[in-house]
Amino acid sequence: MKKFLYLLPSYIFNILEILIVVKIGMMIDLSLTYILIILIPFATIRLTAKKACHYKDWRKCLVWTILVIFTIFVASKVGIVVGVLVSMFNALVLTERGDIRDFGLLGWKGKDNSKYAVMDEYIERNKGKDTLIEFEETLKRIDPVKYKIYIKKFYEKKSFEKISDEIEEIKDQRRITENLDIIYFSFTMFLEMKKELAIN
Amino acid sequence: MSDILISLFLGFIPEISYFTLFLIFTKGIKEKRIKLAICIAVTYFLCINVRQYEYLYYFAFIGLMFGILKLLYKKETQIIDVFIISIPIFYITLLSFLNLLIKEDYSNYPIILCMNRILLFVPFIFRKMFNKFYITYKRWWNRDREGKNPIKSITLRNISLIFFNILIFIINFLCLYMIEK
Repeated sequence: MKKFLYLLPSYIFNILEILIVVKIGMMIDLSLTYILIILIPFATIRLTAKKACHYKDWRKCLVWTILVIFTIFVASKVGIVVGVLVSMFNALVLTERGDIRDFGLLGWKGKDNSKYAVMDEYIERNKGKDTLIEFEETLKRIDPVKYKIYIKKFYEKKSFEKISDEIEEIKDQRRITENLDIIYFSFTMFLEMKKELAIN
Repeated sequence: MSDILISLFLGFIPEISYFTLFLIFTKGIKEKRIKLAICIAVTYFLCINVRQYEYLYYFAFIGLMFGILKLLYKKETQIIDVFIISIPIFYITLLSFLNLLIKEDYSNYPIILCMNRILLFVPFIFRKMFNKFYITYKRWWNRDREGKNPIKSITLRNISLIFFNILIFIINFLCLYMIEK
């Protein structure tokens, strides 16, 4: 009972939201059945997919929901099939399934937490910054072959097959993985050392 | 015969080049460029040339372009690429619509078409900004737990969806207008 009373304002808000959205749909000459055919997939995906995105402020939530649903209704004027697909796509984008690295072609493949993806992201965010340049110069000085692999993988975005074709010293693709593992380990140790030095 | 040549050299080839170059510059694609061009050419031919002015095939083209990127580039292709793909499609539809408006006053169609093709590639003057825009867009897309992004992830997604939804409607509207003419 306590939980119900605690959640009651949000239930009332959700019901009002639905009523406003249905009213807007009717204002642009959509029938109730049509509106429900568009809204049901949207609501279902938001409820069942991974973590739906929400605003903390109810006013922002209301305004953006009305705008997005209104444009879904506008798009659905093209046709019912397009309307349903657009509705499903919109719902998907507004959940954690729509996160970058989270969307799979054949279904939910889950987050890409591979160490190379983490390094990719770090390099993309910190291109040209001192710490990264220092690491790259050190790598180039200590091991030119690993440096070549690093550049081809993270800057030129080449596949393992192409990297092994282009680097004479490495013919086996498995050795690319071994070298990248060493690069990744050195990279994380380097960052940790930098953090320690900064604190001290 | 001349119609076929005009269609090929002032229609099909520039449009395929336009889509391919837009994706290459925006996403910073360095591999499998020719494969990408061939896949886009085949998809474009099947969706747009074979079934002209049927809006479902225009929308299917967006989905298929995303599918091509996913098959060729796997993890580097993300959901935001759907929004990126819809930008050149909107621009090309808009130019075709303007082409149609002007054609009513002028009789020399090949000249108008040439001007249209030139206008198609004018945005590439700013091609260096395409990739910067894409990287920034990608960075702001996911939720930033440190709160450093200037715009909230959900706000950016909402804005993108609103534009995408309106775009669907506009493309359909322009296609219907062109069919009527």
